[in-house]
Amino acid sequence: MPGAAVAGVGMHEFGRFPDRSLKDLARVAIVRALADAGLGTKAVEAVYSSNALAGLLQGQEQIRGQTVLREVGIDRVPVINVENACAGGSTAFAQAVLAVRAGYCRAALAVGFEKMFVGDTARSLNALATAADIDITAGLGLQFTAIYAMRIRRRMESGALTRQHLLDVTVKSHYHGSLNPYAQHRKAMSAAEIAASAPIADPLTLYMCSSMSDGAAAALVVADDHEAVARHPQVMVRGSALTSGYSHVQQNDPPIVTECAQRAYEEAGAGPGDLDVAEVHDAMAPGELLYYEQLGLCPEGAAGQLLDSGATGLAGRIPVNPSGGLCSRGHPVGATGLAQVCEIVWQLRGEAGQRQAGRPRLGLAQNSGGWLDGEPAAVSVHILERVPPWT
Amino acid sequence: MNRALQAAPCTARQRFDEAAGLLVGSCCTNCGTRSWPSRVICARCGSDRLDQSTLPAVGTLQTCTSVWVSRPGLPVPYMLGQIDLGAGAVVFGHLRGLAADASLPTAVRIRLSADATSIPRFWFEPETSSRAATGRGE
Repeated sequence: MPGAAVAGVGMHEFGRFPDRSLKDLARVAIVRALADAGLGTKAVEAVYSSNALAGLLQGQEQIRGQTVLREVGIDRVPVINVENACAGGSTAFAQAVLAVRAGYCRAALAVGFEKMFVGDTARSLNALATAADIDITAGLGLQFTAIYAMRIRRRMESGALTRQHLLDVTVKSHYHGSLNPYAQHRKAMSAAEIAASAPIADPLTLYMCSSMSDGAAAALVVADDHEAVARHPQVMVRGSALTSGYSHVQQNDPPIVTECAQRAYEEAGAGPGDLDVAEVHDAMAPGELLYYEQLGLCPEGAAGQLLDSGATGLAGRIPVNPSGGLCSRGHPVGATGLAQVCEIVWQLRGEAGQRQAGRPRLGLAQNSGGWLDGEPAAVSVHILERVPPWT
Repeated sequence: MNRALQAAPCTARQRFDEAAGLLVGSCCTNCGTRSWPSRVICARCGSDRLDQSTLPAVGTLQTCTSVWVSRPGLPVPYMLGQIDLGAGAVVFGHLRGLAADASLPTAVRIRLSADATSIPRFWFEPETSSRAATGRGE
């Protein structure tokens, strides 16, 4: 079985771009990823395309991938349209990895693109609300923010987290975002500013939450003996796990993120203690604290201590969300999982500029999408490794 | 799994017991796992021997939030919670009459609107009887 390497990555900046269509956003990410790999469009043998909301927001319900790919002259090859709510980008990436490992092709492009600013916030919120089983949740007003708020409130009730932890991790998120030229929110923020921002869903305030966003991200996955891997310090996909949430929550069931991470760790032959950098799915900045525990970065109940120790800052032992995460980099939902992959690749190559988190060898990306009865509907965990030693 | 083929359509299955004011879901006769709304095959054990049955009136409120971003028909703030009704049935629902800083977990009792078109159709209120404080086995 050939190994899967990431030969090129690229993003369109995340933010508000009224003059850019889905085609423009995707074009920039795709061209940047191919240029990064030193390849042209004709090297692409298959495409896995992720978008969540264009059916409802732009009316392009079908063949979304083909409509943006024709703009850059990618046709004839198989195009597989992927939708998995906020985890669509990493789901597309996982399929590209599978295709290359299986020998189906030697170069597969994964691209995610989303345009959430449509001049009508209610319409965008309605579209986001379909990331649940609407047969059951319709009319309840179960927004993403409320789901995160409930998860976090539960950890606060148990005494594991305090309101100060929520503020501190959000300060970190915005600081990292301020260093990232691709980020939507590039302004450092104080705990007082965050605490004073509008209440969204208690205990979450406005500046703790990701906002609407436009953007795109892409990654070119190739066989490990492809000519394109020699262009940069080689980055291999060591673990690729995809799971879906469950309906029946028993007292001692591990969270589905934990189960997914265990599969990825096992495949990579590594554990959480081996990681040097991580991008996690903090649609609300304090969500990062939940994932410290669920991914095994710290024991249960110790997320606050891990944050307080500085270990997850840029200069720490295991920097988390050096990009600013979903909260500050932005969260155009179908693109997010691939933006995480871009960030981990840049970090492993040493190309992350001001937000470079030391000299990492092993990086993890965790992406979640939608929800069922209290658990995300889709979760992926990827583990990437830099092959050559740092010199 | 032939029973699953003969199951009534989802749209024809009862979700509420109007007279009793309770949710109606399924209960697996093999492993006891409950679901709301009802399912036809048990996600825990794979059995197709599921009975329709009412869920307990009292459950455990595991967590909650006051929401400040308005949605159609929902003046802010409105309060949402996640309620464990036992044996694997966990539902989201609106909360009424609960203090925003109530300590959790706590017992809550379901209330069902008599009007079948009202949204939400059901909600939960604090359970005052200490006898039901565990929220299980009722």
